[in-house]
Amino acid sequence: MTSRAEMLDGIRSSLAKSAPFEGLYHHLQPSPRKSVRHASAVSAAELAKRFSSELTTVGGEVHRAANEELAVETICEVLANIGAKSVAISDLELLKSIDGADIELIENPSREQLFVVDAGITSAQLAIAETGTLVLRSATERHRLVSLVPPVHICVLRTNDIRPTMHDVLEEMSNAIDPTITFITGPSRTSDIELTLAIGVHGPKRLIVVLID
Amino acid sequence: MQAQTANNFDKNARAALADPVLQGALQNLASTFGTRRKAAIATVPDWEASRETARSIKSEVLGKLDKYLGAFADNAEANGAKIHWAKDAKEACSIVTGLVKERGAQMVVKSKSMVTEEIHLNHALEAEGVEPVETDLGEWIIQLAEETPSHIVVPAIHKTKRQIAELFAEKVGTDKDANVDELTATARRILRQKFAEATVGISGVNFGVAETGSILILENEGNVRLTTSLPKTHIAVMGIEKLLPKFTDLGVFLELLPRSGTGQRLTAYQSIITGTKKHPDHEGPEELHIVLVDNGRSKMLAHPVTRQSLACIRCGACLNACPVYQSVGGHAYGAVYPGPIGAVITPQLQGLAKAKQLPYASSLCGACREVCPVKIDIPELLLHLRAEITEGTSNGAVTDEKVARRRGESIAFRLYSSMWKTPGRYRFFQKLARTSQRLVARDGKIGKVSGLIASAAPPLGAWTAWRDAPAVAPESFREKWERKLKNGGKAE
Repeated sequence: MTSRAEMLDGIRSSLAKSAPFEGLYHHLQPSPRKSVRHASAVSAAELAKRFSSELTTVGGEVHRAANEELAVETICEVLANIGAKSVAISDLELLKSIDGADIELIENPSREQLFVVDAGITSAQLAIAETGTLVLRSATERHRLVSLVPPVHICVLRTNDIRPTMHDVLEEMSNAIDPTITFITGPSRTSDIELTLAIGVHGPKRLIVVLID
Repeated sequence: MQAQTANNFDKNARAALADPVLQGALQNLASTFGTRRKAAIATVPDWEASRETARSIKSEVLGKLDKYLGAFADNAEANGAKIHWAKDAKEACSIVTGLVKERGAQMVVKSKSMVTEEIHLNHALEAEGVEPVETDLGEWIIQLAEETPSHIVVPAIHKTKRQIAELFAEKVGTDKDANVDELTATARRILRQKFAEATVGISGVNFGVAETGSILILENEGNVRLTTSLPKTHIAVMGIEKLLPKFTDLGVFLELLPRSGTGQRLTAYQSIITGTKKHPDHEGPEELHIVLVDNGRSKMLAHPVTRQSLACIRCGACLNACPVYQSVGGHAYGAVYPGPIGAVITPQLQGLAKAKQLPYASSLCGACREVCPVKIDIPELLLHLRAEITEGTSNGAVTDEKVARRRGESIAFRLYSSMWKTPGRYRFFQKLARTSQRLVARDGKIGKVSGLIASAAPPLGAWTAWRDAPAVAPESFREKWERKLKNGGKAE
């Protein structure tokens, strides 16, 4: 097997061969870095509006709730609407207060349970207005599988956590990067057969966001 | 179809042009992706500035790849990942199969990855008794059909819905008339079973971040998320060129890649994985292996022009824009990477001798350069490779044949220049051509010339083997001008 040193030496010797030609190809050299664009200051209300409209465009659904209590109520209504009997939840405190008469709430679901529940509920730590994207950070919540395996993903998001662009979100996270970060923009989709759109190929078929103002 | 090689492009292309089913399948590609891409790039405030930023970042990384690759490995390992180094396909395959077998897995789930296609990982796994299950819908289709991908982004673009429905009917027992939603639901049902059982997942990598050791993978279906999060062990296979210096550099590439590839502003999912989980209560990979694959890439660093090939982010935009790809599809290129980028990468990966037709599989129209999100000058690369082929600079060998051809070309051009040297000679040869072309010219052009005439006028045969030559006009502009002047400048 090749060692690290051998691989890096191979790279170095190739780069050394190119040295005499570098001066002839100025247009292929790095140019000075420009700062990335930042959207001008936008109010939380406007960001929420943009986020909702972008997410709806890609097939997601958005419900608004004025506070946590009402958000839980909204979640219960959604669960009733989709006829959910068993629901997987992340370890988010708020979700423990979900109270449905005939709904089984499963925290820390097993692999087997994940595949049979009717929905999974999590929150998102950040969001991107420009593309209607949810950002799930694994260091704060156990939501990696609950947001993925069940056929419906219900996600709680606070208006204050919406940022204008991807650049803003990356910069905000760059000081403390979670072991896994997942960006979610709408339900699972594919166009692999004749470029025809089909929803819900492997991930959730429905993405429902409950936005808390 | 499977026997097509990179050295048979001429033959493959002719077969593809004569295949009505393939032509039908390719019909929508250019217009659908072209329109979606245009709409998507219009939402970026300054598309050109983003392209230039991305080109520059890639140029920076590739120019100091040893430094960035070392930093990436250090940081990934500090975060709990295990790094493996593979100089070629054989080593990469043996590392991956070794890891899989050590864990006692008889089946692995795989998400779409071009580099695992390049190293033929599935064959290596099968040879060791491990069943690789492709989980991307398009990849699963071609795995069922026992074919190879014909497009970087939509691997089964060469197949029609009808063919896919028939394939599913035969292999997994669905209805012969199933629609796209039913076919998709079938894939979901069958592959979920595999995800539930798998203990090892294998993925590719879109971007690696040197300063953090993170890897990022984009997708739409959710199979990458399932592959990387359900099994205990995640093996990521990554070409050494995939690096970006900084975490925040991901921003501009996430702006460019989905828009260029599928015309989406962002694909449905991006997973950023930085090592293994740090806390027992956290979710996250328990075991992450990153296999760094060279397999001919470092050789491309040896010249600024060829080095550009490594900036490619595999969006497929050049395929969709290319009039040659649009006409012949991906399989004609006889290699894992088709289209304009394939025509420059394949000869460099496999060696010019094995793929010397590919740099000529282009009209040099420049559509690929125009759409490339990282501004790779593909026509320049094609010409560079053509020069290497004719001059033999790739291996330094100057054969007798090449010496003879150079001498022949030099005589031919001296002859041409003497024909054009004085107005008298020019007029004489023009008249001579006008008379002699009567044998071959039809409707103002000269079609394919062969046999005796081709051997009498050597360049004509070679030229018209591939395209029409314009015929000499019955009356030149100068002749017309003089005739009209004699008539007192009046129109006829």
